[in-house]
Amino acid sequence: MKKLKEKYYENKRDELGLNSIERLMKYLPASSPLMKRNVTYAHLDFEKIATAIAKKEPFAIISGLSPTGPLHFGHKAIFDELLWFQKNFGAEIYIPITNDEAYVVNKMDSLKDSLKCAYEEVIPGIIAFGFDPKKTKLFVDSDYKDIYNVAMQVSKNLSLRVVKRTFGFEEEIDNPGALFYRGAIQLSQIILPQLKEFGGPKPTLVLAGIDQHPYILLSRDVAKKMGLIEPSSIYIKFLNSLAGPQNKMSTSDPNSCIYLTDKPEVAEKKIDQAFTGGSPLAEKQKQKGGIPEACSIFSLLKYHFLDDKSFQESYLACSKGKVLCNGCKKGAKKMILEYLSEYQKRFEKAKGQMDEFLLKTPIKSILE
Amino acid sequence: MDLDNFLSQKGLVIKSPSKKEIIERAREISPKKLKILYGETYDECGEPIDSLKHYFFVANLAEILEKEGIQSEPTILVADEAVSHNEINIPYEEVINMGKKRASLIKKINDVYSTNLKVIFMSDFINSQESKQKLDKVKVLCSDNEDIQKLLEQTVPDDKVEIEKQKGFQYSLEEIATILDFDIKIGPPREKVYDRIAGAIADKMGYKKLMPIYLTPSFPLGLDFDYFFSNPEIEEYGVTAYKADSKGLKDNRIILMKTNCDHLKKLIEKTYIPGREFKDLPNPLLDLLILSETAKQRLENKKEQIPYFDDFYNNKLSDEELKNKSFSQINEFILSKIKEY
Repeated sequence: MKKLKEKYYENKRDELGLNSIERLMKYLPASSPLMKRNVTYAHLDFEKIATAIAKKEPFAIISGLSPTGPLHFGHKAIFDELLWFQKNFGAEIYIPITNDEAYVVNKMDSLKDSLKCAYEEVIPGIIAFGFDPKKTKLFVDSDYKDIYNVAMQVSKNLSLRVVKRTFGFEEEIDNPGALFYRGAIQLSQIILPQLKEFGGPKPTLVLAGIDQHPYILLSRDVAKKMGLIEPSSIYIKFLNSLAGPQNKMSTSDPNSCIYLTDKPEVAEKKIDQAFTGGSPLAEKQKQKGGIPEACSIFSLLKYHFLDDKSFQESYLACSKGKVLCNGCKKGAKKMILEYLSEYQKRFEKAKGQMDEFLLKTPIKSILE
Repeated sequence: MDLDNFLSQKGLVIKSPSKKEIIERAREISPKKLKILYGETYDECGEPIDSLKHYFFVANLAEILEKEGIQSEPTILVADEAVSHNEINIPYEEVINMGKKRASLIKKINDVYSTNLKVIFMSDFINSQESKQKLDKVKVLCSDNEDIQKLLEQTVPDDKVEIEKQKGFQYSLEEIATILDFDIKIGPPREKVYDRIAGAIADKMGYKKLMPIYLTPSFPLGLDFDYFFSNPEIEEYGVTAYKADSKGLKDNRIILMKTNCDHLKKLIEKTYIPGREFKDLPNPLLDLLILSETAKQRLENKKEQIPYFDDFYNNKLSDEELKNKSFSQINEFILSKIKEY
């Protein structure tokens, strides 16, 4: 299963002409834990970001989020990576909260619900990670209406043919709202940091899953036509679902993920029921070892809780049958519950900090 | 230092024939001397310090071989004719004069460092009847061979392939014809393509196969990690050691009689230094330090193992020490010794 999954990511990376993260890691002054674990694993045109880092010049990172429910550990991986770039290299972070998308593609029943989720769950959830308010800008699309003016300008630089060709048969755009979102608004979010109001053209990096690659290609096209710098991108692997490695953690499926706002007893139950890479027979597992690559608990630990040394040790202990699933889950529970307890305190505090992070800058340059 | 240690000098030699192979060649061609070659073209921007790495190596190799009882002819080829073919905007006489300037530098190196290098000019022999016949034969052998045609395309930058094809890869074939005559060729790793072609046709031409020795590439100074990350070709092959303005980077090179102390200091201060765990990444200052140490040993008539590669990667040489030492040694043992030529 590990081989299949790794092969999927490697094949996709190669098929799309992306670069492996390995060479980048040799040169960057520091590598993030997720890069070292090959969770952050591919990039396109990171060279511009490397130059900004070397010259200590400004650069921006964009990573959008659709507010369809509470944040979970899969989201944490993305925010950890954003925070790492901010702490190590001073990156300006832009996080569009794409409630309009959630609504037009029927992930939320109403705009009202999408706004509620954005302000009550997602925004405090993001702030609780510890971003610097001076260098982090969050905005909810339908409240930050100037983004739609930007989207109109962006749409002038695209043809419907190109948009449809980009999405191919993988995605059906079955309503005009979805088309406007996919074809313009999402792209405008990516080029936003380069507008005059935010300092003008600068290197920008999109942090996303590999499924977002078509948008990045489109955004590069548009940026070029608008006289801006073509965005770079960096890709992160999805965290395995608690139900098994065939799927990813998903907000819409509570059984697939541990929400960061889950009560301890809920989180404990989810851990108990999580799919592991072990055998139902303890003796067999002691003999043959477990399969950490297939294990959703090991995946959680790999992404979030183990330093390099303990990662190696845990991997070996599991694969050689030195530790059984119950023992591993016990250790995982302790780490996860401790984290959740601290996180949820910060989450509560974050509710009073939202104003510091919300982007309010009017965009006038697009009307000139 | 014996021949084995010399041929495996860390931070200097990337690839070389073994001592056994060299001794065997010497035996095969005896009583003729082993012919050692290092060839250079040049540009209008002057003489880069990186040429000295190769000059010193050729001289040291000849002396170490002599200690092993093997006689050799260490030769530096100034490829003036090749330059005139490439630099069609520079009048021929000017190209030849620039070549003579390069030869004066080598003479100065001989005087200061007792290197005893022989200089030959491509223009002295390339237009002779013998050379023309040799070149014609090389052309026939290369054109008949599809694999060699593909290799020839690799001898020129991608954007020049079509132009050179139309010229019949004249420049590359002239180089191949020239190097066939020699037993050992010193050069940067980028030359491996020429050497492979020469190796493929040597038999058919009645020559012994060339034994190349590749020294570490030369890297530009004063640039940070992002430059090397963004230029994988430079990471692998460096810049052309003997051309001061290779890749348009003359401001990032040490050019003899042109680069002053202040500029050298600034360049060294801003130069990227890789982490200790990656020995395959460019290390321009380590390269410079090893060059300066070689110069120092020439002046002191010594040939000892240079420890700086191991010192650096085993954390015994800090970044600060590397910067300071390379600066002071380059000044003391090279720049202050070569003030005119």
